[in-house]
Amino acid sequence: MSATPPKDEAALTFYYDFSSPYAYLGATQVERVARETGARLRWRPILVGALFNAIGTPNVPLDDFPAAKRSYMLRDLHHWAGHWGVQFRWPTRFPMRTVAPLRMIYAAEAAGGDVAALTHALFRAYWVEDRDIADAAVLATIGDTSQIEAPTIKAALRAATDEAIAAGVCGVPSFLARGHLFWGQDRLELVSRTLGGWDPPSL
Amino acid sequence: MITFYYDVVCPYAYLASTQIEAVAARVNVEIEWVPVLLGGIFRAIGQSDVPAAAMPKAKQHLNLLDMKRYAAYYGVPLQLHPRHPLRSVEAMRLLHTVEGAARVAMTKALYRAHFVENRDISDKAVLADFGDIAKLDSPDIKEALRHATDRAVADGAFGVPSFVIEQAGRRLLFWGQDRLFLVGKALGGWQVPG
Repeated sequence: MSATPPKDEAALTFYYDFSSPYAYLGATQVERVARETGARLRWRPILVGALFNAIGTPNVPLDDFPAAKRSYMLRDLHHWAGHWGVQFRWPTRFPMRTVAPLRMIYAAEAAGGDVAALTHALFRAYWVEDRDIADAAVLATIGDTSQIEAPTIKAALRAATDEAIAAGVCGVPSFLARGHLFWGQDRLELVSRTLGGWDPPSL
Repeated sequence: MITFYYDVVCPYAYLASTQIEAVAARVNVEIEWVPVLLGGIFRAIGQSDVPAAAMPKAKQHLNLLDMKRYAAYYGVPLQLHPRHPLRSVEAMRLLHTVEGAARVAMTKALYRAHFVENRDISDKAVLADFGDIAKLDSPDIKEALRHATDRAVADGAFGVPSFVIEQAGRRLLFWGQDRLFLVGKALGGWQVPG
């Protein structure tokens, strides 16, 4: 497991955690962006709580928002869900502990399974169906949970999180395209242009 | 009608000012340009004065990149003043000394002075190039800026740029220059959910 993103010019790396509603929205669009630009999509779930600890961000940023901003963010999520034409509901359990479902993705990857389909199923379980994706019994109905305590699987999630920190990620969803890092599903238009050959400015 | 709440201190509000007229023209609506004091909004909602200062390094870096990227995307120049953020209360009061087309013109001139020419818009001697600074200490002008800022807070604003439109009897707030396309979409008939 490499701790640095590939130099592959054709790769689009998608950093996400099931705990983030904006990452869910991003997941509903990222394959379209990859398809439209011919990019090879690299699914990289990370433990965003560990990232926040590493860079010094509150664990649940929403909790630190002023009331007006928090209330707007909830409306903003519905605006985007409506814009993309996807289902969304605020879950009864928030925040959510996502270590187990994140490890399921690396277990699926190691087993040659369908990482995209499992990602969508887990996002959907939490952000559409309001299921408890910290619950082992719930997770077992969605995918294979037998390997989530395996040392190699745990290490894979840690390595991906370290990769994201090293890449300068400050939250999820983030997208790495041709060496340019973007934060937020609302930046997918810029990601798309970058994959299409646009060189965004540097500082 | 789009109510546009802005402060000349904010680079994202500057970016919005370069795009909002095209958005409004496409759906044939008027823009109400409402200068507000961002610091006054922050005080009203209990947020620290300079959000960027509270950000982790990784986020500060991306935030700076982000405004540059949008400026390039829109094809407009943008360079933060070396002493960003400058005090903008006098500049915002100056904008309340004029109305209508004169206010729009002064807004654009101040944004250009600040984010393109990097002039010090906190300096009254600089502001004298843009309007009548003799009016800055008038109680009516001070009150006009306070009133506009209160209006923004009452509309649910917690930052700038903010945009408010009416739809089906509801006043709808949108925050951020990156949400302008949703404002246009809503004015074009999209029923805003939520």
